[in-house]
Amino acid sequence: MPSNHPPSRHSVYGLTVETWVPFPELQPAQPSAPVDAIFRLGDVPAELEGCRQRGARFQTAPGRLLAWLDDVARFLVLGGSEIIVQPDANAIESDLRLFILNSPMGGLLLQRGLLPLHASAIATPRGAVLFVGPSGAGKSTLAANFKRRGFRALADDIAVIRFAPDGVPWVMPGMPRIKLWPDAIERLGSTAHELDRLRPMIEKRGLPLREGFHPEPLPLERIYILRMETRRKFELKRLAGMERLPPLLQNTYRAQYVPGLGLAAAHFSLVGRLASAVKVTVVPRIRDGDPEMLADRIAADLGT
Amino acid sequence: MSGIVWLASYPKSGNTWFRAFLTNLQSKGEGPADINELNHTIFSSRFVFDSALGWESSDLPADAINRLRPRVQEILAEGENVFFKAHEAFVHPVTREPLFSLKATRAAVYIIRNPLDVAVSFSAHIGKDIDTAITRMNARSTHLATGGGALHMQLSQPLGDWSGHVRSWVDAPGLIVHTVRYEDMMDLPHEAFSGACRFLGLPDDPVRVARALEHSSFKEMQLQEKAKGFREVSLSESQFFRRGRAGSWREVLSPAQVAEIVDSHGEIMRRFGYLRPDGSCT
Repeated sequence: MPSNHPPSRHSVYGLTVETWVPFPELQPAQPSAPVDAIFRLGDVPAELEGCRQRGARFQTAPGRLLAWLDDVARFLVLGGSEIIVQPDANAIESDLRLFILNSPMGGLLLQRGLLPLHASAIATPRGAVLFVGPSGAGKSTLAANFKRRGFRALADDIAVIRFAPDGVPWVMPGMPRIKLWPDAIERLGSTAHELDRLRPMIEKRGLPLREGFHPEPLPLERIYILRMETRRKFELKRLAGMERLPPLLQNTYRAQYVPGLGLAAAHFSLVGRLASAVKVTVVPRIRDGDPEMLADRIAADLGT
Repeated sequence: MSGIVWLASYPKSGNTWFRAFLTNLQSKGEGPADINELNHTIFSSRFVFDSALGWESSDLPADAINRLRPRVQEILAEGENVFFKAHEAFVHPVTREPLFSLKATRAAVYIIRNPLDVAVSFSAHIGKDIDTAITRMNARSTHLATGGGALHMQLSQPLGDWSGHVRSWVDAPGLIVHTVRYEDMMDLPHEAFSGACRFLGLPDDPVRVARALEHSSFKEMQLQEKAKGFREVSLSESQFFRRGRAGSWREVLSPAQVAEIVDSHGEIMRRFGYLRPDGSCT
């Protein structure tokens, strides 16, 4: 793995990140911005000392995350400021970039006391709107649909919330691309094979946002939770105070890392602040519901 | 007790009914449990799998996911009283790689149904004609939730052919397995369900079992589906709880279709009482 590049600096989720190779999928950083986190190549241990919680491909301890994927790399995430990457022998660089921005980035954001949600985010005249849900819920498809309607997007897959000193939650801009499966791309009227695959063996593609990216933070206006339940009738349901907590806790990006990182109490408090500050609406998945109709209904609900 | 209890079956064989029964048996509520809140979710749920993995399975190819299954199960097995529904064959029908970790497993209940009736129900489930359903039930390459350039909410599940599926579970070396026939669940519910309860170390007192049976009756589940919908319905079928009876193949299958199924699955059908010694259907 070559490591003789001069370090590159990128801006993502409001952080300036110094990387060992250029990440063309990320925005360049302002030259004067101080570096918040470093991604570098190095040795990563096989086991995390003092491990508190173990998953199939992660281990956590306060301030430390070890996460690995076979044939890709081992990643060690330290104190919210450093990700060390030890690539596997056959790893390809695009996989290293793709995966470091998933789980390790999720761990880094949590360690920094930010609130990453599994969500896409669009910019509306009233502020940022989040579409929250697990993989396959349709959050990227909705964001892409709103992009086609002339809205700009702030983030896809991971949307990061940061509280301003006055307590208002802001959404930080993420990566200028949307990840989509071919069926969603075709339904948007585009052709899948014109877009690059994110991995050689996976059908998922990256749709570059270009001018459709909103590179500045925005105050959070509203959250839509995309819920996997089949209803006969389509209806949006506004959640009352306490009802907002479980879906926000559950859809925190890499929520499974939180207890082992020693962040359970701090995280619960962040989610509580978010729940009391923003409207949360549940959107059911509906039989034969097409994304166009879904976007129409949400646009009507937003009054845009 | 640690270790996972698998509620395993080929699709459309009574697995959901069995889960509804168990949920009602363990429920403290007065009325029937909500069909949209059944316990014992499916192992192939991406949410379950990804939580234990720490990564998103949607970024991984199927063979990499299959290789991760045993380790993910070992993580999930660390909980108490862990039950999961599963439709996968016990070993991969083509590669013969293990899809289930024996180390993570406490036991399995395998629910089997007459393949003649499975064909009818499976056809509605996948939204294809009966001949297609039969072809899939005969093919080692059959999967659930796969392909189409789309992300499915469940992992791709290797099923293989019907007979191979049955054998993979009921004859798995080292697996403690209790087989329940769908037809016995229909005709002799108290015996069939109480027997499963005893196997699982769950309460089997007659009053409790009777109440759970009443609360998970087909009529009850169908009423609830009509009123509120069922989250586990496939996008191809109009209703999940369709007929809930045994023997409907007699009105639907052609003699040629019956012959094709018997030809492919006669040995297992005979073993589980779906074929008489003279080769006629029961």
